[in-house]
Amino acid sequence: MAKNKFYDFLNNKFMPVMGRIANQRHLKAVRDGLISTIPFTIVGSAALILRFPPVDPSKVGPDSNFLMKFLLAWNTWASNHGDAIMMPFQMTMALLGIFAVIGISYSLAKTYKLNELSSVGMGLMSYLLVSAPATNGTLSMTYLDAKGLFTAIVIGILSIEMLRILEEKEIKIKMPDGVPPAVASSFAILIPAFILMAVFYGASLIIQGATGKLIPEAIMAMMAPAVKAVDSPFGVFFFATLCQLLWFTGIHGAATVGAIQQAFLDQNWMRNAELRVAGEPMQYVYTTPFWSYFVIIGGSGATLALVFLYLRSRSKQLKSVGKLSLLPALFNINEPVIFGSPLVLNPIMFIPFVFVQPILGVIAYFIVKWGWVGKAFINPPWTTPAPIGAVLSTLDWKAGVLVIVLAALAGVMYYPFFKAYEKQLVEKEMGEEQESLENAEGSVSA
Amino acid sequence: MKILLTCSAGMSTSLMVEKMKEAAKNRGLEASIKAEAMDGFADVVNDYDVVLLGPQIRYKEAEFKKIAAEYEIPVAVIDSAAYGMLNGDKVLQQALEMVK
Repeated sequence: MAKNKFYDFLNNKFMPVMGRIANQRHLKAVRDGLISTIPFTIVGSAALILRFPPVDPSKVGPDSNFLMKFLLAWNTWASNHGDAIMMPFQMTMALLGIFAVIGISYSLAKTYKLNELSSVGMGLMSYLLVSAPATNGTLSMTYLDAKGLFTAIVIGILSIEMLRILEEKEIKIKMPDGVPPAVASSFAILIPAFILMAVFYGASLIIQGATGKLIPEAIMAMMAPAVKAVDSPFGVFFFATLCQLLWFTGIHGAATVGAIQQAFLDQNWMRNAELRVAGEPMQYVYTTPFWSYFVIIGGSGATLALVFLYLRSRSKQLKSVGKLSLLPALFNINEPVIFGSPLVLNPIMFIPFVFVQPILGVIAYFIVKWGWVGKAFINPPWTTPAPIGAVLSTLDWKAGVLVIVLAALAGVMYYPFFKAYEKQLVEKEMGEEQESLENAEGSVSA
Repeated sequence: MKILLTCSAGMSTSLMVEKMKEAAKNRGLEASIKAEAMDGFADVVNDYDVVLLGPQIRYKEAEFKKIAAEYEIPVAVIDSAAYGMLNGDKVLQQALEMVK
């Protein structure tokens, strides 16, 4: 059976490999480090929403209604106090690299059981040395924002790896017994601190001398092809499909795929935010909010519409899954749908469960790319209901319409498969009922 | 009895936790049940008697078992059918049998 072979491959080869990738120490540190930046990016996002009321003064006529007048007044106020409103953004998202290097150094240091506080300090020092040359008492913020994210990842990982090697080789100042441990450890970090400083600052000076570029600039140039490949219809299709193949085997596709794509998607939406603030056209389509609201509509597999189909199902099982999944699904949580239906290893549902989501993603990609719907530059929590999250992340009401249309389209694509599966379940349920009836009759006559 | 449920973000396990609390109440059991994101697992595991993983993170089972073994805390993956149907009583039973 070709089908069984394919499932065996998914379960025994593909799933373990992807599980190992998700568990890979450095990818995990990056993922956890990025998660730790979320509260700060939400603070920055709130400032962005306040700064950019959803109104275009040039398109509002003089006889506008109360809401339009309110938005216009808000717009005027926001323009007049732009700097003050944006300060929380400047101190969070515009310093994303700092928060990221802290989170990544911390996570990685922890897996090696290094002293977290001094490791974080070392990671931060190394990152600042290569990214923010100070002149006349001023730090340059140019590469401390999302442009410095990949640098924060590289430097965070490298500095912790160096600390680990130095620790393993016991290259540190040792104090005689009797010196208080806290005093001893304050000396222990000195040699690693100087080594890190010399390596990173030295590398920075050499690269500046040879190319005239700072390290973050060089890393950005190196990453550019990968960034471009991810932010493409192909990238959306690839990750959305990969995510679903994993979910089909029953493991958390979004978390696993996130280990690879999250840094790209985070960089993309925050770069958009920076461009928006600078008054330049936004560049990136495939972003964290794009994934949360346009691709995973109602949870992985874009199952929101499926839940609505379940609610009216003739199958008792699907109906009860529909009832208990409706509320979570509105907040993009759909494990009850995935495991309750079940969609995991369900041959009838394989095609829609795996391919509806990438198809929606590619459609959404082009609609955003062509400018029919705005690009995302704000990141609300991923548990925000999809249409609302889409509007908040783009400040474009058309984004909400797009999500609803995409969800309906998902319903159309799921429908024939849902019907086939429902038929199978109804037959099974009727068979079970028949059996229990017969059993009951048997016991009466006995 | 303290039970920890963990999954990617601690979201879907929090649904399960509510159902398990109901089940515990119906049985007249004293149990403290919580859901946590998997990133914080190593920090919190020591506060619990038993750990259950959402089936979607079963690739974490070996790693978490190793961490929990230091404190002799049993770890298992929740039965996926019971998880999907949010069957609190069945999962509570699974937890109770693990600490016996």
